[in-house]
This record gives sequence, structure tokens and C-alpha cells, in this order.
Amino acid sequence: MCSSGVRSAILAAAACGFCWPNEGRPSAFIVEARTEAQMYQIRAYRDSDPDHPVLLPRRRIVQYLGVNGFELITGEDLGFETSMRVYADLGMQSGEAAKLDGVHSEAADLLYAYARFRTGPLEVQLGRQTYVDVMDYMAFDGLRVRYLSKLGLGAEAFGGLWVKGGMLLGTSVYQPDGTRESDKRRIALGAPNTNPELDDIEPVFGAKLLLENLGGVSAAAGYRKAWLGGKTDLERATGELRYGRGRGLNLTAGVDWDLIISHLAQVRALARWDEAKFAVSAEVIRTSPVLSSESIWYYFATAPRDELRLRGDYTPVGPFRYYLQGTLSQYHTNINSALGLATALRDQGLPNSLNGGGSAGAAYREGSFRSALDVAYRTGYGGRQLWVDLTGGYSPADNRYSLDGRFSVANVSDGFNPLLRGTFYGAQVWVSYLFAHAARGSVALEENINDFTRSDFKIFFLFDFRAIL
Amino acid sequence: MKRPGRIITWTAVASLFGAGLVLAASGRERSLAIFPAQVIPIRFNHAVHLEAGADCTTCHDSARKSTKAADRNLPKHPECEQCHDIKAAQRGRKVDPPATCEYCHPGFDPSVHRAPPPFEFPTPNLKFNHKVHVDRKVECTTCHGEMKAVTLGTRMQLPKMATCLECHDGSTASAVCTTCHLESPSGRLQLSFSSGVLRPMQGNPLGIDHGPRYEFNHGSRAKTDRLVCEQCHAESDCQRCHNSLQKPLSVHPNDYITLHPVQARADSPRCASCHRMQSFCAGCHERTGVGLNSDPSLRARNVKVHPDYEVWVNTLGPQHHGVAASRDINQCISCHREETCLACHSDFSRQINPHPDGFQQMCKSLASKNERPCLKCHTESTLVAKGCR
Repeated sequence: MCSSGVRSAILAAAACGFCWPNEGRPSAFIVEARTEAQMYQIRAYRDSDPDHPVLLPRRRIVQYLGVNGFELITGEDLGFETSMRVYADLGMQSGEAAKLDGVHSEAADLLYAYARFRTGPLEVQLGRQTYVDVMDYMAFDGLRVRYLSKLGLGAEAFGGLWVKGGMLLGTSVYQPDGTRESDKRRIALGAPNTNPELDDIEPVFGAKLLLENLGGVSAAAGYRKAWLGGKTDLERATGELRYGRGRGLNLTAGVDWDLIISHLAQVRALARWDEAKFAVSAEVIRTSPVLSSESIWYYFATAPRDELRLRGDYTPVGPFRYYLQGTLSQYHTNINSALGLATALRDQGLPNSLNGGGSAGAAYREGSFRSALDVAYRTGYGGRQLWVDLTGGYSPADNRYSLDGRFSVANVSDGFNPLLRGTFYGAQVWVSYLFAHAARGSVALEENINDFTRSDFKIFFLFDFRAIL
Repeated sequence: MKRPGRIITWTAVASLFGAGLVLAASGRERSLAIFPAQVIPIRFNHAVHLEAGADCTTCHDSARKSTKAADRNLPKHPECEQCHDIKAAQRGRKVDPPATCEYCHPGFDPSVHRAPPPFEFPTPNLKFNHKVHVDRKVECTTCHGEMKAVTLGTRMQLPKMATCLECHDGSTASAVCTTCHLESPSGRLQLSFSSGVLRPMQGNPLGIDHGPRYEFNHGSRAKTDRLVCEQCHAESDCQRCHNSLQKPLSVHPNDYITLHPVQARADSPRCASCHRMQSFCAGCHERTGVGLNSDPSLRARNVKVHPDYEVWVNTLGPQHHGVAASRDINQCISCHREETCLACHSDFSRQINPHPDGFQQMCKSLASKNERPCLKCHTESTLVAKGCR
């Protein structure tokens, strides 16, 4: 803990850093803040029967704060970007979070905080940052360097510590799944089969060779490895390919190979043809669950899921556009043939593994008005569902306020849970008001009516602040 | 027809009718974010002028030296007076071509009004240098189209991005976004303008059209084309949904907490793109009493979400949980912890082998990389006995 004298000195130094007039002062600071509050109650199954549901209160508030600085040295692309989140669930009963792994009644997460420097073909980022590629979406504390020559050839490398839920100011969102985010609670309870390594630091390293826009072709070949408790937690190789030269054919494809179990973890390819008034696209995706090698499930279930999406967009001159999409997906089944259960796979009563469906919609935008209608239907494994979603909104030219509405109807029949069958209605009204140039407040009210929860009412409050200093 | 079916049908019909009501709106093609709406209270006919022998530079000569998008490059009275004898008309003389105020400024009566209705030509939210293009011999019609059939020139005669990209292909001219688009202080493209939000729409030539439901279809593009995404989006844009704690109102429709199981069964990879199953999903399911491995004080009492235990666990039939687990482990791990499976699938319990075919051949290699998960179910000696050590 700092003494008050030390704190004063730090504050004074920070203030001087911001105020001292010199050549190197930043050309821009951007401060962003968002407050999200939600008030409603959810139906719990525990200690309840369908006629006397137990309702658990949700009184959540989340505060985001982002501070960004750019061009810290005049003329140089040197800056920093940060985002922090503070969260409290005020509706959670005292001590309840302590019984639940992955649930926090209050938390503080540093979502990202990095310094960036770019000069010519070189880009360097240092700090907590996210990284997206065909493999997944991850966050790490460390260094990323990218070099891309004028010829379009380049390389990228990163290394650091994977961001995990158990670390200080960490979030578990990007942590490999399949295990508890931390086992501290169970270790304290003396539970059997605990996994203390889950709370170890997880070094991660990755590298990628890049080719950018050579005759419209871009490609990348990558490798990533992470270690947990001295053992390999993840080891992958990836390939990415893109082609596009303006209107006409655009292609993207990616493949993700799991080097631990020598298994295709993901492959996806998207082909799209664009013309002025229409576009058609076809997308195929094969995915397997991305799990930590610490998880037993990683060695149980390797059957992939396939998906095919076909979509057409019609964009005539005018405020309307239309789309039509068809989706076909299939879960594969991979049961050990030595098990008695394998014979059940030939049974006529096996649940359908195929899902089919589609959606159609129209969107309208003209001046201050906007509206959209979407109808989606899907049937197959897990049940049948029909969703109709109508939205509309109005914002005057000065953008001082906006008024939005949403009406949705869902007719569903869940394949497992007989309570989830019937028609569910929901309506939402969202009012937003610009208090000042940098501040906007919004209130959303939601009412849902159905045979399952009968009626429930939700309130959402949002406040956004963004200032460029 | 049953009552809910009728309600659904009428709701769909009413929704479609509601969308149809707005069909009468007028057309728009250019982005309002790039080219804000204009007010041009003047009568003018390009076709007539071109037919009479004028060319582009007769009225727009300043464009040849213009270096900024803010330059209007529009004719003023001196240019008009090359043909229209405005002074003679003001003295009451009848001239040809006509030159009265009212002829070009409809509704303007100088005896009543001090000035004609004002023009509104907001500066385009672009960087543009006419001089560079003229010096490179780019014809006016390349960007503005053929004007011989046009009366009043409007935003519709300003170029669309597809036209720009015919030359800005990375070799003939730069294809870097900020060559033309305005930057925010971060170096990314400025997306928000008083006239609208810049969003790739309507036949976008890069194939990145952010059309309806793009929030559900952007995955493949974002995973393989992040350098393009980074031109506009900061990490906070992605994290707004991909690290969400709260229900994002634009993604999940009304009452999604009640209805999400139906969608999750059909499309669990979509859930996993934002939620960690063993944290977000299992934690909430344990709190609400759905999850099995929660603290005893939170366990479910009266409601089950699976088929009967006998069918789900003990009967080797099509409804057995092994089929569901093999197909989509994400569904299992959104409620269960490893202990549920270890209760049967372990050397210390019923010793039921859940590994798929072919596992035996690679178990030694896997155990050498990380044997901790193996030891949750097996002992070191059983691993040796199975040839995995």
C-alpha cells in the first residue's frame, strides 16, 4: 500500500506528464466510458415446480473505461490503447458466488492495455492484447511484432502469457475451455481430483509467415504453442488464404490443424460474388471443439460439426435490401466401435444429426428511419424453431435522441426439455438521448409473455461517454 | 388451426405488411456518410449545355487545380455570364438564352427576397485531389459518368467506391484505405460522421458488405482477414460482444435467456465464439439449479432437462447420452464438470471407455505431451498396461 506522500508524488508526476508543454505531447487522447446496468429476474429450476418458480434477481452493473493516446511523439505512430471493466452482480445472494466456479459477484478485468509503435513496414505491440486468426480469439500479455515489406511479404511473431480468469485483472473468456478457469476453490475445500496447474501461468508463443495482396492473393502460414504446468496445453498449425480484386469473386479460406492429436480442428471457406445490385455467397465450415489438453473431454469427443451456408443478397437502388439464406449443418457421431453403444448407431430411433433451415429478411434505411424484418426457421437435431423479428427505429437529423423498438415471436419445440415448447412473445423499446456532445444515455424496457415464464419485465440502462482531448 | 399457430401467422403477416408500408420511400445509392445530403435549389440541365457546345471546363475549370475535397468547383455568375446575359435581363430585356433570376433560381423574386434560396453542399467526408487525377489524364466521365443525359447534377453523379477501385488497385494507384478515407486519431478510418455511419453496404466492392445479420456471418472473414478489419475496428468493437458479460441487446433477441437452449443445441460453436462453456455457461447453470456439479445447496430438485435417467444413462439405445456427447461435447460441458463423466468413465469407477476408435494408437504420444488428464481416469500402472506409457 502506498503512503499518502508517495501517492501524492505519483499523482503530481502523472499530472505533469499530461500537462507539461513540450514538443512530444500527444496529439490526441480519447477517453471512453460505458455503463451498462440490467435489472430483471431469471427463472431458476432449483427448489421449484412449474407452478411455483423460484425467481433469482439480476441486478448487474458493468463499467467500462478506455483511455487511449495517439501520436505520443509528434509525427510518430506511437500510442497506447486500454480498456478496463469493473463488474458487480448486486442481485446475487451473499456467499453464493463462492459456491460457483466461473461466477463472480464482482470482478475487475483489464481487457487490453498495450502500447503500439508503427513505422513503415514494422508494427510492434507490447502489453495485454487480443489476437484473432483462424484458430481462435485469444488474449495474452506480451509482445507482438509484425513486419510487412512493400512487396507484400512479411512475418509476425508473438509471445507472452495467456490471459486467464485466475490471474490478477484477468478474464477467462479467452482461456482454453474444458476445465474450470481456476481450481483454487476446490483445493481450499479439500475436494478430490483437483488440478492446481490450472492456476499456473501459461506461456504462449506464435509465429506466422505473411503474404499480402500479391495480385489479389493474400496468405498466411502460422504456428502456435502454449504450455501449462510444464506440459503442452495447445499446439496448432494454421493456413489462411484470401483472394479478392474488387467486385466479382472474393474468396477466404482457413485451416487449423491440431498438432497434439493430429486432427483437423477447423476448416472454413467462403466464396462470395459481388455485383452492384446483388451478392451471392457460399460458406462451408467444419469445426471441432477447441479445448485445453488439460481437459478429459479433449480426448473423448473429436467428432466434428459441418455447416453449409448459402446466401443471396439483393441490393436495389433505394433504401431497401433483401437477403435469403439457407443453412445445413450436421453433427457427426464417433462412438468407439468396441462399445455396446455402437450398435445403437444403426437404430432407427437415433436422433436426427442433421439440421436444416434458413432465414429471409428485408432491411430499410431512409433518412431518419430504419427498420428490418427477419424470419428464421430451423429444424433437426435438438428441436424445431421459428423466429420472427421486427425492428424499427427513428433518429432525427441532429441525432439528439433515438427511439427503437423490437418485436419478436418465437415458436419453438426443444428436443430435450418439454417445458420449452410453445410460442414466446417479446417486445422491447429503447430510448436514447444525447445529453452532451460526448455523453449519451439509453434506457431499454423489455416485456416477454409466454406459457413458460408467463410474464417477465426487464430494464436495461446504458450510459456512453466519449471525449477526444 | 390451433390458437398459437394463428397468432404466429398473423404476426408474420402484420410484420411483412409493416415492412411493406415503407416501400414508397425514394431511392438512395451513395453513402450519406461519405457524401452528405445536398440541397440544390436551382434549375439546371447538363444535357442542354453540353449539346450547346459547352464542355466540363466551361463551368468547372477550377476543378483542374483543385486539391481538396472541400473545393466546390461549381460555376458562379461570371461563368454563367459567358452565355447568359444576366445584366441585360435585370434591366428588363428579353435575352436568349434566358437570364432572369427566376429562370435559374425557381421561386426567387429579387423584389421580395434579398437572396435566392441557399445551396447546401456539405464537404464530402473524403480526401480528394482533382488536380492529381486531371494531371494523370483521368477523364471527367470516368468518375462522374456520362452527363449528356443528366439534367441537374446531384450526389448521384459522384463516384462510388467500385469506380475508384478500378484504378486504386494497389498497382495503378494506391489501394490503402486512408488514401481516400478520413482517419481518426488512432489511424483507423473515421466511421462516424454527422451525416451517418460509414459501413460497407450495398454491393461493396471488397466483398465485406456488412449487410443484414452481419453480426452472425462475419466469422470466417474476421478470422482470415483481420488486417482489413483492423482498418476500421478497434479491439473494443470486437470485445463488445466477444467478451460480453451482459446480454447484448443487438445480438440476442427478447427473452433469450429462456429460449437459448434450442439454439444452443443446433449451433453450439456460435455460443462458444463469445462464451467460455466452463465459466459463463456452467456457472450460470449451476446457479439456476440446472448444472449437476454445483454446491449441494444449489442443486436441481424437480426439473430435468434430459430424457429419463434409465434411457439416458443405462440403456444402450439411440437416446443414450453417449450419442449426444459424441456429437457435441459443448452441450455437455455447458452444464457438467469433469466429475460427472469420471463417475463412470474412469478406472476408479465403472471403467467405461469413452475414447473414439484409433485412440489407442496415439495415446502414448498424447501422454508424453501431457499425462495429467490421463491420470484423472487412469493410474500410472494402468497406463503402462494399456501401452500408453
